[in-house]
Amino acid sequence: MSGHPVSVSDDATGDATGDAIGAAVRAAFRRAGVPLCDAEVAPLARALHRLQPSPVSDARQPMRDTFDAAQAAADFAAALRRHA
Amino acid sequence: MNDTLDLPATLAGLNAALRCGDFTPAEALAEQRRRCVRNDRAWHALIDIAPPREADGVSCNAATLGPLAGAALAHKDVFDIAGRTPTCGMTSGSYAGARGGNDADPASDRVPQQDAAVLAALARAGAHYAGSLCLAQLAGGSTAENPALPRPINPLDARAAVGGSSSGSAVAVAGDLCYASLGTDTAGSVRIPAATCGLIGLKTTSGAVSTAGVMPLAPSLDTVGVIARNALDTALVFLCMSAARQAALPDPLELQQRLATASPRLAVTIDDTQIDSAVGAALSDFADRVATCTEARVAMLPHNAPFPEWSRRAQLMLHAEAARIHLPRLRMRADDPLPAPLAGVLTPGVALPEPWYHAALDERPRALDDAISLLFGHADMLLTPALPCPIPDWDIVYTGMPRFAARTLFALHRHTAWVNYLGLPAVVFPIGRDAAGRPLSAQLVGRPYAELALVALVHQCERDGLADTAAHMRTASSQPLPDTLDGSGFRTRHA
Repeated sequence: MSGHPVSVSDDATGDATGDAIGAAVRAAFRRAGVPLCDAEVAPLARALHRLQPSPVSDARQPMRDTFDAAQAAADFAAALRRHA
Repeated sequence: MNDTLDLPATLAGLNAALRCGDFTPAEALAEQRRRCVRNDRAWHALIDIAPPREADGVSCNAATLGPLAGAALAHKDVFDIAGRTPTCGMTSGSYAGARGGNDADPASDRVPQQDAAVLAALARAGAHYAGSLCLAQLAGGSTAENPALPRPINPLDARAAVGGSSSGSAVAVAGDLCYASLGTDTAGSVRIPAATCGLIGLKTTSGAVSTAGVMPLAPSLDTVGVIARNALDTALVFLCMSAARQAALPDPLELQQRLATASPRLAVTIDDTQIDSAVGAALSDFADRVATCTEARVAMLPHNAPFPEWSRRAQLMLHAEAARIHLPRLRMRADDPLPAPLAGVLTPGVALPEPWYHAALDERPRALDDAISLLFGHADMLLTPALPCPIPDWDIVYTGMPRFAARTLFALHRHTAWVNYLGLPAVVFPIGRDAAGRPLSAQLVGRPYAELALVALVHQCERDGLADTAAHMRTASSQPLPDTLDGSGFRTRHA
């Protein structure tokens, strides 16, 4: 883990969940090639925690190669037509 | 040509006046251009005004007038215009022209070769492109905040916030720059600005209107919508922009009759824990009056629908797709930092685990099945608040201002984002005023492709004095059109 402590609450002292999500955030930005400054990590960790307060391991799951976005869109369009 | 042409207050009225020969389309267009430039000095909605095209000067035969003939409409600056790249609200720095979308490189500054499909459809109905309107940067925000542009002013109350991201569209219609305007709605970006300016805002069914040539924010959620002053104009623009190339165009008078005859069943949900008491009271009162005054049959819906969960998934999808669309620009941010509101939309998507996004997409058809069963098992449409609170002062919802309140900002899309996740159509419209005199608006949500049924109920509410659209109307739009117009075309007198 690198950088300052991260908290998923407004507590600046850090916590285990915040630190773990913070590490995942840093890793994700590194993988994507997007610059990230240290001050952004805590707000991003809190935003992710608000979006899905699930186990931190979730935040480190790899991409699913088998996911078919076009099929998902087609399925949803069909559902819309079915309910028209 | 008259220096101050007395134009009707609505598109339908304009069409009637043109058919009666009160003035020519060229005269009407010239007057609208004058108003657009003059009125914008007060409201700051315009990014630029379009040069007249050759067709602007052609006078039309009344028998062949399209339903939008003589109408100069300005739109959110996310639509391709042949020869002009939309700014998408990014007017300076290395993000300028970051249109995203259709190109292999989403940050390409390519010049479009043709108009966006919706603008081409409006042109087939006779509409002219008047200019481009301001927005939150890259259409990513619930307010008008855009550090690159002057702050647009709410014509109803200069201290009141203007919602976003289609802020310029709402200000332009409320401030009499144009009759109606197109915006885009990914989580409420047509409905929130319309509600803050006391207008009607229509979000269309996912996929019902082409997004070809429109800057994407989150393609799974993006829709094109309409902001207008009354229900008839809203329906008119919607039908024109969604009409297939060879389809018959709507006749305003026939459309008015069609809107007047709907008889919907209405479910009402008011979650008192999620909304301000003034909003809840206005909605309850409105539901009572609708049951009494219109053909609608009203029933209270037990509040057991998972609106917060649907909203959460909408946010997941929005962040993930917006980050993906604008990833090339995000990689340049060390040299050109993102403004705070835009960073709040784009950066969470970089860090967001793919499985969360995939789960939200996977669950969408099943969520729609559940929603249809829960919300529309015994009703045709659902009534909710448009906003959870009265319209705040603008500096409450602008980041960086001393009075900025993040919770108020985040709450603005509480009742709108879940609708995009489910892909449903919705319309917001004013139903009353708060203690400060600012509009309070309701939202009607319908089954897929039920746009006209939703607008029909709003039309009936206008007719019966239940929808408070009068603030923007110099002429009562809910009155029948002049009897000089019928469906067959040209008549000789306009009342």
